[in-house]
Amino acid sequence: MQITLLVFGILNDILPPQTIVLPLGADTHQLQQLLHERYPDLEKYQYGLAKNQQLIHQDQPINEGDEIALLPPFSGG
Amino acid sequence: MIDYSLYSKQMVLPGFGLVQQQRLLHAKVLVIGAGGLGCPVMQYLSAMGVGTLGIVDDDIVEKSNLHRQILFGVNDIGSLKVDVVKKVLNERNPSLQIDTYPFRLNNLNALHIIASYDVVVDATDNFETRYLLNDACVLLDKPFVYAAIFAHEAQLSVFNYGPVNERTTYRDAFPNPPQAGEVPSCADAGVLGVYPGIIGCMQALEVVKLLSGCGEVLQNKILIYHFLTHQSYIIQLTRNALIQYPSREQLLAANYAVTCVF
Repeated sequence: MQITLLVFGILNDILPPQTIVLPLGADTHQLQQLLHERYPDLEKYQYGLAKNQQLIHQDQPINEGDEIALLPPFSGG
Repeated sequence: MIDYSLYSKQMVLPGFGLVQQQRLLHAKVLVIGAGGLGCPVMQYLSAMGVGTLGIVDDDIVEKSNLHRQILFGVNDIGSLKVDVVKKVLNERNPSLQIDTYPFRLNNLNALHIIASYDVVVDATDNFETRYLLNDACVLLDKPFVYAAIFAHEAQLSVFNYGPVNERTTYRDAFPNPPQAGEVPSCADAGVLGVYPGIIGCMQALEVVKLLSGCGEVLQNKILIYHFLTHQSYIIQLTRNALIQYPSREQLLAANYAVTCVF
């Protein structure tokens, strides 16, 4: 199945927004593992994960066509 | 005696009239940080007739501030920011009450300062102060209007507002602060002068919505705004059951510079 990955803030320095193909039945934990394998620097950062514009607090199943966003904290003011 | 003609052009708007204006005039708003965000926030809140503004900032004006911190000019370099802000805003609207706090917000003074205000504006540039004021606002039951900028993007939200069992805070989005140096500030990542002007005005608008009851407050959501494309993206926030907030005693004993975890 294919999903859309959006990337915000400093995480744009690590990976681009993209579409990703995942095995059927994958969850957000598996997506994060895959991203950390492909982009090892990502693990150094804290970020929230939103599924279809809803921030999640625990692993959730992913479905075909879902939009996943990686949201790091911003600092400047 | 209030001169309502100062506000006549906003009082004729549908949904914003005498009652809403009076709510602003009686309101007390505390702005933490008199920088890129704090300047436009205070400029508009004072112009629109928010009765009392408190400003917390221990910095002096520097030359590199002037491109985005638009209440300051070259003659103010070296002066305390809070003194310049008070002078400029009172010249423009003398009926305003402006309280200045020329020091940093810390765990020992935060509860005392915040307690006498209705709304807090997070216009800070660091995580230590942001987590402290988040926790202090939770303890004191105060809403706070958050904004922050990274490079060409900004985040905006109203935290700790709405029905008690649904309220979310900064910790629901970001439970723990990043490591030192993980997220660069405006000073390190760079910022176009107009960016905090745009987002600071949106922050001021959220304060006005909160106080007046006009419009829909950006609670339980984070708005992410991209300045170069004008694209915005809203992420819904729900409570994170794992988050623990400090008690008053824990907050008074905490060292936010070292850890913001309880």
